[in-house]
Amino acid sequence: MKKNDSLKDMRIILYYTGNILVGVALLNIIPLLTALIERDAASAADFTLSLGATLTLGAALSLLGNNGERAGWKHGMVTVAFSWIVAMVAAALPHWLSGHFGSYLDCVFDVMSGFTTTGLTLVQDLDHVSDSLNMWRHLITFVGGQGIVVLALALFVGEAGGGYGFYVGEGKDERLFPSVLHTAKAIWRISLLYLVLGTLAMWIVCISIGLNTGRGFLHALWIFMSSWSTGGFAPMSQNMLYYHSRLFELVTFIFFIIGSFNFALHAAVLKGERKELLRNLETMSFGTTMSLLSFFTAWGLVRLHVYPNLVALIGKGFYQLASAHTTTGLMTIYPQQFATEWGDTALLAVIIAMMFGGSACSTAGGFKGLRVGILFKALVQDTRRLLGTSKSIVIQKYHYHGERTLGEQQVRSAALVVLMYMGIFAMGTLAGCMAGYPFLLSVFESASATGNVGLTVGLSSPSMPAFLKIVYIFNMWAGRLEFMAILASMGFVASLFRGGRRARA
Amino acid sequence: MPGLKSWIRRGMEMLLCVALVFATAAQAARTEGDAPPSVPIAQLVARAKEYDGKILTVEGEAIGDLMKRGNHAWVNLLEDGVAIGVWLTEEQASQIHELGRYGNSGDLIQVRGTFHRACPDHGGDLDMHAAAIQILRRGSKKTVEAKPGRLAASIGLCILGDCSRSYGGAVSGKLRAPDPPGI
Ligand SMILES: [Zn+2]
Repeated sequence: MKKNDSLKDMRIILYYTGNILVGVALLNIIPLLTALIERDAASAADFTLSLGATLTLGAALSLLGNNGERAGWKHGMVTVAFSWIVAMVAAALPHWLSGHFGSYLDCVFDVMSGFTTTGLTLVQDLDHVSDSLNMWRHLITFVGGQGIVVLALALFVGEAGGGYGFYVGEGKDERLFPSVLHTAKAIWRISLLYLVLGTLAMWIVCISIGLNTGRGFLHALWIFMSSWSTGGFAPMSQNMLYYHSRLFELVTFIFFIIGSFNFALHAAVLKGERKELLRNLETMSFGTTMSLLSFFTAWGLVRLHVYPNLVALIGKGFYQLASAHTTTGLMTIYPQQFATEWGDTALLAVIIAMMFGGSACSTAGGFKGLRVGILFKALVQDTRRLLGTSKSIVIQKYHYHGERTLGEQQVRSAALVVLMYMGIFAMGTLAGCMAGYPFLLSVFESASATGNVGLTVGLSSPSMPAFLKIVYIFNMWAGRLEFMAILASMGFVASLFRGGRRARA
Repeated sequence: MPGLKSWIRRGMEMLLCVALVFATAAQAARTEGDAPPSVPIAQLVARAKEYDGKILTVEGEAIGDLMKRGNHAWVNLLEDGVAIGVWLTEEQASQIHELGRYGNSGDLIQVRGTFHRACPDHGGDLDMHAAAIQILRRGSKKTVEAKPGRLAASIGLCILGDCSRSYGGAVSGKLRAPDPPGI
């Protein structure tokens, strides 16, 4: 009986994973078209191969799992965690076929970094990579930002349904509309609106800084995808430094700041509720921590005379900090310069910014402004309790799309998520130290991977030990899905074993 | 008498010092006139503080784009996986013909110029300002051939994937919407 139940569960999970994989397969069409337009037969063959293989695997899984059952909350959670792993392996095929990666593990690392909008990369000789592979890498980051499961829901689910588990599993717990399907579609509408406007703006900038029309368009599209989804990939190995343009950097700055905002906030502002922007707990939290950390970064950099003037201090110091805080990972300096020039104070400020991260229900990572804000409000509440008379009940309010009262359950779940973040961050740091890297650099790289940032001090390279690559892949995955889906999957796997034992007994 | 002796000795010492200073200055001027030391780009980036403000030579493949800015231009040079931006005059930039991209190798270029760890004129960028450039080797285009095996496999897999997908579709109809949350 028990065994039958878990078999049923497994088939439901396979069915949905298969369908999500079909969605990933169809994404191959975009780089395939890029290759065809550029008459690049070799890349076109690679993407057709990837399209076919992923489609076959997806179709096979959904056939295997097809049993006519509907998915519940638990299935949604486990499907998300599982499908992210399967999608990672499948989407790495074009990377591998391109010959620009040292091993399949490196390919998988790059894809997970893309899907989680991290931006760490193990690609080799990026400056000679085909346009279609760059299209694929940036598309992965763009889709990953909105959520691959959210994409599949928006693409395939015809009728209005629930499926809240799928949605929450992907780290987005804000419902813009009562139905998840509507919400998924709204998220995609917002992103596509910005994609069109942003690419156009960026294209003009690209042409003005000396790129030709064709390459200007591609770079505009890719850099927009990368900044908006707070990703951090770039088509050239020097990242933002390649363009040598303050204007270019300013425009990316605007995109990744907007991209790090909550989709619910976007929806509110698009509806005309502009005041929300200034009163929202999340934006307040972001503004406060950003100001404080800017001060510390400037302090550290000025004391060591790192930059010759104010323009450089803002373009390098503030840009890197903002890129860290929004968990983007675009860089206007070389990775080594963090280690050799910045000094401990500025480096520490960037590390803290990477841990805090952007907004909940956005494309950003980290433990999110909302949680930082909630924990701060809880601290205020407890202090007021301590100071007040024992009989009075202290009610703490905060503004988040309307006035809300701070509840114990919110504080508890915020604290737990932050605690788990700290846990895997510590694990990543330990792994870095075990691999022989200096302490501060290990802290930095682990914070970057866990918070889905992508800034690097140079640890993430093809030559780093395989176990460290695996630890970072895990941290990116767990950090992006915010643990719930992963805990649910662990529970599910444990129940499978228990079920198996009971059936045998 | 001892006063004169020590005065002569001090005079001799001073003369020697002056001669030494002149000799080193002359030596320095000579190395400056000749080709200054060529430094690998990776080493420049890794030890930027050491080389800051120095006149030196780098070599690398011109990659990507030649980005015109007024009567100057930027080009990035790549050597052993690390690239650096070089600030050129229009005239210098016009010597570059091939840029390294997918399927292309760019011109191999030698640049003599001033290295900046954090350039005050360019927003703190780590860069080189070229005094002179020389083309060491012209780049070339090569076509990347498609592998026939991959082509055949890809077509086969697409047909297979599509067939099983449409078979699955025929069995189950449209993807079922998941249940509303049951908690
Ligand atoms: Zn400069």
